[in-house]
Amino acid sequence: MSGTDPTDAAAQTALAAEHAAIYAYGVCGGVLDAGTAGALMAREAFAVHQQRREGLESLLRDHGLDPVPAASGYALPRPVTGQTSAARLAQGVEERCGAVYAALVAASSGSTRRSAIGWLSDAATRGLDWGASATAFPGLVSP
Amino acid sequence: MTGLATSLCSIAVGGCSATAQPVGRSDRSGLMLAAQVAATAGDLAARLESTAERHGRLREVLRPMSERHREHVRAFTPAGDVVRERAGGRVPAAEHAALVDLLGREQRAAAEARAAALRAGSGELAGALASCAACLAQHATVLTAAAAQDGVRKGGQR
Repeated sequence: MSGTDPTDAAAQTALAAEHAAIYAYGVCGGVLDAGTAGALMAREAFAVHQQRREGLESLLRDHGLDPVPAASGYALPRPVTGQTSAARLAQGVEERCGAVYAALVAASSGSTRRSAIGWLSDAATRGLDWGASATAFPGLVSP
Repeated sequence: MTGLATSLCSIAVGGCSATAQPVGRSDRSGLMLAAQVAATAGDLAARLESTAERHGRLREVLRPMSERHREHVRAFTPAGDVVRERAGGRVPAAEHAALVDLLGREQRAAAEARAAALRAGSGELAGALASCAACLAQHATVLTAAAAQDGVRKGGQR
């Protein structure tokens, strides 16, 4: 499924993260009051992650691979009941996505790397929008 | 973030310390890319500090950014090397103009780091440079918000 090519393996991991992100933003959208800034941010993020999911699926199919499917369900780290918990979930989503994008940058080259570089910056700033703090190396973990 | 600095220096930009592996030493283009980003980070740290000195009210916003640039300098500078910092001329007298000036510098630095990440031969260095670029994008977001707040505050005073 994931093949042995490092780019393909990183793309599959990123795709799995996109599936989870789409699910999580769906949950956020369900609890945020329509028309609020948070609801608009969740809707925009939902669409962004959908686009990335489709791009990654297309990339993997072009490489002759079956894209990893979405899980039938996802366990949330904690209940999402309103603005605060939704924002916390969204921060976690962007942090997790940032880490897989950084890994995809490292494992790829050319247009895939270019996309992953942009996605990493987007995840870092989107996390800020949800209330996360800035860090010196978003997506990287100190060993 | 000392651990990260060690990691990047020995793995991504090898050749920068006495214990570096020969394969790292041969990555001359990687060393050059890292040095370029480190130099820009040093300049930005100095610029942020001189701006905070001139505009004391911005200190709380600017100081964490300056510290993060110093982390970038440590991560991308070979051990023993010294990065010469240039604050880059006079800081604008108006707070808003000073913030906009910083915003432009952060955005240009982010573009430079993204381009370096794209060119890097080592995947690990590419990831670190892309992460640095993401941090600079965060700074641009923070500065944009600070400049907007400054504009609102000034408008309210009129």
